[in-house]
Amino acid sequence: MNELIRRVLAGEAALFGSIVRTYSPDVLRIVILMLADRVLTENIVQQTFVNVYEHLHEFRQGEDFGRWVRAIARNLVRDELRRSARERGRMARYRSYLLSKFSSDDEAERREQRLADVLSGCRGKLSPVAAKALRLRYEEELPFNEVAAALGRSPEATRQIVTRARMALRQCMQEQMDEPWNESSI
Amino acid sequence: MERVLDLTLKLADEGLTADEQGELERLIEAEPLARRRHLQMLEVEAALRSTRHARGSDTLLTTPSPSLEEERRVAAVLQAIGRPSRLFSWKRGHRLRTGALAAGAALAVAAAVLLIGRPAQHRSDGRSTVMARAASRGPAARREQPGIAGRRGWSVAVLPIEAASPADHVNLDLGDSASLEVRGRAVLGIERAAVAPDDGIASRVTLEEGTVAFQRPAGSPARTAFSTPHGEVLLRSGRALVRVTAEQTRVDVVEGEAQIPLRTESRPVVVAAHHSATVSDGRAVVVALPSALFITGHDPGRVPSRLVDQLIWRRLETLGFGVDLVDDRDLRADHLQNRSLVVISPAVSGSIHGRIQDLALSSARVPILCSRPTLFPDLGMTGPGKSNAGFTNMKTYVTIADPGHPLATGFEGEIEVLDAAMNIGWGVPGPGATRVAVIRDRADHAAVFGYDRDAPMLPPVARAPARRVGFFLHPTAIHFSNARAWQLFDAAVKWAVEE
Repeated sequence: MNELIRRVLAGEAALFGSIVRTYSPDVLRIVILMLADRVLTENIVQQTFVNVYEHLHEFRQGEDFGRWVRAIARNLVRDELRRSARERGRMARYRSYLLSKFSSDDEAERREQRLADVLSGCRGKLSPVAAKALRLRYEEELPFNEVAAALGRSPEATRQIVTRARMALRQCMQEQMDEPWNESSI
Repeated sequence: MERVLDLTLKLADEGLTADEQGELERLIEAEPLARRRHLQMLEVEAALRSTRHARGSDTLLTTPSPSLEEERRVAAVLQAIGRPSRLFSWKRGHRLRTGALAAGAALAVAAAVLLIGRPAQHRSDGRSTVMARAASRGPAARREQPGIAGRRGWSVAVLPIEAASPADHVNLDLGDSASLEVRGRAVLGIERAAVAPDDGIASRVTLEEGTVAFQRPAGSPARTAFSTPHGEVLLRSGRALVRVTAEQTRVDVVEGEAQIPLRTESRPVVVAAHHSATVSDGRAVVVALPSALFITGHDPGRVPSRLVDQLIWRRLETLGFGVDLVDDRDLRADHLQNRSLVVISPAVSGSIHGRIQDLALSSARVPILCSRPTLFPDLGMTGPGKSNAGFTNMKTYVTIADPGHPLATGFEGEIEVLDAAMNIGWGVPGPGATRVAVIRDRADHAAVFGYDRDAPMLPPVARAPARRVGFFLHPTAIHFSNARAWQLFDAAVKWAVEE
């Protein structure tokens, strides 16, 4: 990575594509937390990498580059959350809450990891049908009718399965989270 | 409490009605526990969505991803940071284009169609370059999104647009009094600002390949931005051509001015009228445009002369000239000054015939391409009389007589130049000329011929003051001229000016 950064800084900007490919998943995981529309999500992801490029000379070798990239992504997400929090939209309360959770990079990293771990554990407790429905819906991004076709259920029944699975996950995660989940956010 | 969760999931799935939104607001305002559940549920939703993007390792991914979404993002970022992307070039695209993206022409549309019905937050976009540029301009620019379609989940299609033969261009109305003329074929996408943007950019054109002419009358506050693989070009009013090849973006400003922001410069490069800028590798080189005088006319033929002249005018512009049109009745000697080329339309009227000497056109030290056979004798290109210049009837072919000459542009033998049997102009030039293409079965009737500078001509001109070319266009037949005819025309123009 250090060699790549050195070459990008030396003018081989085309090599920067490797950095985008490598760290896009990390950045997307952070930006997606906003539950913004895809245009805004993609804008922030791309802007993250533009900022990474513009500040690449500030990165200190030996540090965790992925963490540095994620911090830049969170900065942009914070900016957007502040802006959108002023616009009283449907997600305004959630975004205000999210902003409070983004106050510290260390805390945010820990929390994101904890949520992912707890979610993974709770998904393991779902029925096979519910687990499959969620996988098709979220990992493979299929629309409900295609999920329904894959499950051999009607679209409405499939919606119900996905809805109940999410509710079950929330219940499970509430029980598993160490902190009193969301208590301080109100 | 179940109702709060149900409504929250509807919100996440974008299925919440206005009434339900109001109900949800009331519920979470009234009860702290409802607020907690609401936030928890949305956090579960966000966590589920993020699972698609597994935490990456630090192992560098140096080869292109099989994901279209990913590679468009890479291309967009590389463009935004000032370097052309080689990954998604319509000309150069390699594995992406030939693999999963074999349906290249329908790329963006296909991406949009495939994504209908999926969670909006998950949808890939496929609008890489545009979005990177919008993103790099900050929140003000973001308000312009989502652009032309205005619907969430839909992206702007960057698609090939091609004029159907025999038309040589396609007109597009950009709004705000601006228009775009696609010359032949171009690969482009267009976005319009949904609200008045802070930076005045009312429309954005992503041009990946081809040539377009932009035009907007003076006085409009709106601007149009062209995003190309090599940079960005801003145009307000006037007239300009933007052409994109794999290597560079070129901007020819005929009227008005263009601005080219560069990452290395604090101020944009300004391209004034009658100048051209070439943008590549993050640099812009500005030079004066070669100037062509195009003498137009009013020959009462079956095709309105303006339609004839527009074809030639556009062709000259596309070849890289700043073209000034002058009606043959208004032509003055001073019009000839500081020109790189003079082109005489096949539609000029007889009125110019008696004025050639007064205008000193025959002795002008500027290359002339003439497509009006009746003027050949006045210019010393042929002898006088109908036996020395005219039009054939019902012909489609010419025969290349000198395939090695640059005017033949590689053609040899008999070539079809018209798609229908029509008129072809010819002349019988003097021995100082090179006959490059002749009428089939009439070797003395030259359809394309040229005099090099200083070559002996015919009275009243002793030697050619600059290159002279006779070319076979006809007012009626010009719309039946095929690609080979225009290749010959391009070669004639280039040969005329190259010395």
